[in-house]
Amino acid sequence: MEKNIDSAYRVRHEDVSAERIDGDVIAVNLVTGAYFSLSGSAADVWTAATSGAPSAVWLQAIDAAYASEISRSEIDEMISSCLEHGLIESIDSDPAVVLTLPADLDRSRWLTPVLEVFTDLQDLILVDPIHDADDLGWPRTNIVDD
Amino acid sequence: MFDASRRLRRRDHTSTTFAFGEHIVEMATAHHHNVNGISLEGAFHLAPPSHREPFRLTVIDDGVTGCRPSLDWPAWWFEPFGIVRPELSGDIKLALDIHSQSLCAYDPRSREAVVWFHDIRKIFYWFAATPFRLQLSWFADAFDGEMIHAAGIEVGQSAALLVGPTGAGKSTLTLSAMREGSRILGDDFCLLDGVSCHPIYRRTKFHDTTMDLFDHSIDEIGTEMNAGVPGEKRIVDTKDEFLCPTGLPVAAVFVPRIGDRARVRSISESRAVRSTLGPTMMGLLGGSHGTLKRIVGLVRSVPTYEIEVGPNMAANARLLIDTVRELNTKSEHVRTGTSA
Repeated sequence: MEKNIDSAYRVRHEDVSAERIDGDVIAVNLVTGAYFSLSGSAADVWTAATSGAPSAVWLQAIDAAYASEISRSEIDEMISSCLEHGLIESIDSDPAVVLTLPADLDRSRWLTPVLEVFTDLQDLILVDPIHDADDLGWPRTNIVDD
Repeated sequence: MFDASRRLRRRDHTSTTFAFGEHIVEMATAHHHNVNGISLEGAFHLAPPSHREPFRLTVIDDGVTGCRPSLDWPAWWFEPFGIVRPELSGDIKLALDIHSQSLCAYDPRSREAVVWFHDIRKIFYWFAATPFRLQLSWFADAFDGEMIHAAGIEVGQSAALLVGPTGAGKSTLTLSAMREGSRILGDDFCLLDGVSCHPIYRRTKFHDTTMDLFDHSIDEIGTEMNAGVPGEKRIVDTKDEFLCPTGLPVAAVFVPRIGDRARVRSISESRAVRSTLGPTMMGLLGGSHGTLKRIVGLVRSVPTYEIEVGPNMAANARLLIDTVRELNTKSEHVRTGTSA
């Protein structure tokens, strides 16, 4: 059932830009135009899972960091979301990775990790004019400036 | 496109040079290239010719007699809009720009960009306020700079950056600061180079609702360029006395919010990043790989605040200016080793 937490991952840097700041991870998928926010435990799952460490290692790092019990099924669900949005991909793990979670969070309580998705840019970032083009006409008439 | 642009540069186009931070851009346009009667050259801080290697920007326009390039393109070519995938465009950056309704190409090796319009005279009026920001963002990528969606206000020897989405209060606060005597580095897009903000555009634009707050006193700050056109933001050719012509280090980032009185409070770095990222990406067709990194780099380097914009415009501006002055004083004390 919880298949995703049995793997190691990497950020798909070819298409994705991501930064951890102030206990949050902000990620951008430059192909789809969607951007993402991961706060609190979600930031930790992101940092740990994408370290390249074996799954047992990154799960143990999260478990050890939190004072309360973590939820493996919630972690699995969040990893699924990240995979669906093309943010990360499964890789062969690297046992040599040394994983340290940044000291930028209150970890006294485990909260459900959530991948927040913002898609308001996606209408602007349609990127394949050869395969996606149609004959809707030009220019559009319903554009409002920012 | 590049061949056509080189031919036109020699034949029909005239060049102007404008400042782009520590760099310059040489822009070639036909003299009649304007948007609803508003010239494109006038949007920029013009610069004298320089020995520095310029970025080159050529504007091609199907709609102007004598400038029609050999390419025959059907109107539906521009659907959908967006940046073309690198696997299709190779080393050349290629985009169909929703903001300027143009086909854009950039060759980073030769530092040349081409912007190709069906008819530039008919595109949206607001393009004339901050033209070619996508191409400028591509140029900036060469030196790890970014075209950032922000208003920049000069305070002492530094700049306050106002970021956030439409309606947050950026323009209101910018206009308030101008009326309090501050100069601006831009009211919509500025060039970010490390933690320095550089002015690119001379023009400001304001909603009628913003002008209502100031008794429609556009004449104080400049000349309205689209007077009498209903339903449009006012585009203003800003007076020199309100324009800071040089780059300044950023002292702080402010996220304005409309409220009931002027007040300021610290906010998290991540909130400041989110407030900057979305509007910047929106204006640059998604931005580049470096956009997020550069915004994070800025926000990590300076204090970040929310500023509540109340009905007393002068009080809003004074709070912003006083906050930055206080930061500057503290920085000066740290630098000189004196106590406050």
